[in-house]
Amino acid sequence: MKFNRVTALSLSLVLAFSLAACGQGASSASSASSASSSASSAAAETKTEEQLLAEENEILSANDALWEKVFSSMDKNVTETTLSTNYGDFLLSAVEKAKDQFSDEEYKTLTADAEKIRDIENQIAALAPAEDSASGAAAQGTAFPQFEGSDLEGNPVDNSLFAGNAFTVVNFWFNGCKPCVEELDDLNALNEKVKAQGGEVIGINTETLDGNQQGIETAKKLLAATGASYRNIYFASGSDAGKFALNIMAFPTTYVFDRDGNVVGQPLLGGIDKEENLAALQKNIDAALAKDNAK
Amino acid sequence: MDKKKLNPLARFRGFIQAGATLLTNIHLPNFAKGTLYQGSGKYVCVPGLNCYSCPGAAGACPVGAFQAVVGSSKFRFSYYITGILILFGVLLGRFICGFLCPFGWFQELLHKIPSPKLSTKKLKPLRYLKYAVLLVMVVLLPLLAVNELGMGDPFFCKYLCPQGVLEGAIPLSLTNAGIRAALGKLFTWKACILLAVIVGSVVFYRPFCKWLCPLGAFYALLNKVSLFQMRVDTHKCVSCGACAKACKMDVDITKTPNHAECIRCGMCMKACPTDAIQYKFGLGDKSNTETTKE
Repeated sequence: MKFNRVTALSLSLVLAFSLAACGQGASSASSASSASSSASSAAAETKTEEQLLAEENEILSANDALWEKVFSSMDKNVTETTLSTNYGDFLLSAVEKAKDQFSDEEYKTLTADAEKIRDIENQIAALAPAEDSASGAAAQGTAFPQFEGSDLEGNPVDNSLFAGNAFTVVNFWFNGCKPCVEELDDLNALNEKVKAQGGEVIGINTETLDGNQQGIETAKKLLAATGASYRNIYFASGSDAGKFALNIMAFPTTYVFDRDGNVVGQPLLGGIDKEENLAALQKNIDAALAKDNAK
Repeated sequence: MDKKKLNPLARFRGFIQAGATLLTNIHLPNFAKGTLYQGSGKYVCVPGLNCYSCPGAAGACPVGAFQAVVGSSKFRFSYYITGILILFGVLLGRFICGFLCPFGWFQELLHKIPSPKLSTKKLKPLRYLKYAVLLVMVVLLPLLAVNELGMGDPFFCKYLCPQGVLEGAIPLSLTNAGIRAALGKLFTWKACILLAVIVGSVVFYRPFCKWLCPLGAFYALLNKVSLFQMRVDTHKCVSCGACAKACKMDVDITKTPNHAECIRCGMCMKACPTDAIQYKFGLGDKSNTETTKE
């Protein structure tokens, strides 16, 4: 009967684990469904943001009647610029405009409230980039490692390639990967399209690392068969860049890098021959372009 | 009955299953990191059905590896994997299902959950489904349904395998945002299969092994010729039928000791009042073990 007891014990352990897994699964599902949330943001951070927003609402509801007046006096043409400015500043200017409707006392309370909200908004803004960098770091480093390699024709290539482009789309693939090969023509089309924007598509085939002749030949054949003419590069598998490539465990994976070689957004898993994947990649490209134009 | 001298293999089967599952997925820290072991161990297959993409996996899945090679444009047939599979099959046969397969153990544990248990005796024809899965999804479709460059999909892994969801998709997506973002309809479909297998396992004994598993089907084909056999001592047997009643794979061991469905679990040995059933490993010496041939 000892045997039965042990199996019962191990069973209960497994059940406990599976329950724990269910709990996590539910939370991850909800985070995935919340539209654009960068998925790896810690729950704690989002909570504080929620708390801060709740504080703002409290401030507003404390002097409900006054704020109601301010809101009704507002210009209804809310443009993008007004949306992108600090909400506290936005409220301050609204209060300023409707100044003559309030007594001095009321005007003071309103500006004090708006200033509090401005401070909270600043705190929330400080949270957001921290979140971004955390999720970027989770995706194996934020910058492409220093490397010296060559393209499949033997021409030397190094990190300076990033500086030459407004943004660089780097696609990781290997010869035996069907979904990778099936998006090669789409990547080529993308390369032609982004040339005008100063962008470039680069392929890194993990089977060509270290200049593996067999891998390079097969890769060239596949590229030719799919009509892809954008640059494919390789470097030593033992280098930091090689480790970066070999640490990727799902193919195809496509990164977008900015002019400094930093990762933009979350890397995309899956081929861009699927529309939703192309849209996700385009979002990263747009972000990189915006970043480059802002400089 | 517990006092009886039972073969230690059968007696400690639960421990062996747990140990095999642990060894098959020994890279435990990877579960927290959400990464895969990608070392040279992955060039070799593990005996049981265990996903390559399980963060802890020590080796490749034989069914997955077979499809990957058959589906590649370079090779038409996977001699290396087939060789390993035949070796496993000839040495142990479906002993692997009963003792070494993590997914078999998973189903058995689920079956211990108290619930009304249903017999699968009337569902015997479904057993042949797994041979169709082996032939169509593992061999023919990856080989024949290829794109213009000769590349096929691993159809079993892609469209059917619940172990891939359990060991690969779920743990990886919990820790890896990129994978989570990539989950789509296929994941939903296979999660449904996994759920069906889980529910099925509570009420039936090892439904996936019996009806769907292509690896089980392959080992079943070799069960009759494998070195690991069951033998029934006809002098000791009193034909009480307790073994057939105890068998959860619906085999009557006195009639067919090396039936394709026998996973060597030893439940019949436990049930036998006269100790007539034994494990036997090796060639020859069938003279005094010859059983009634039907």
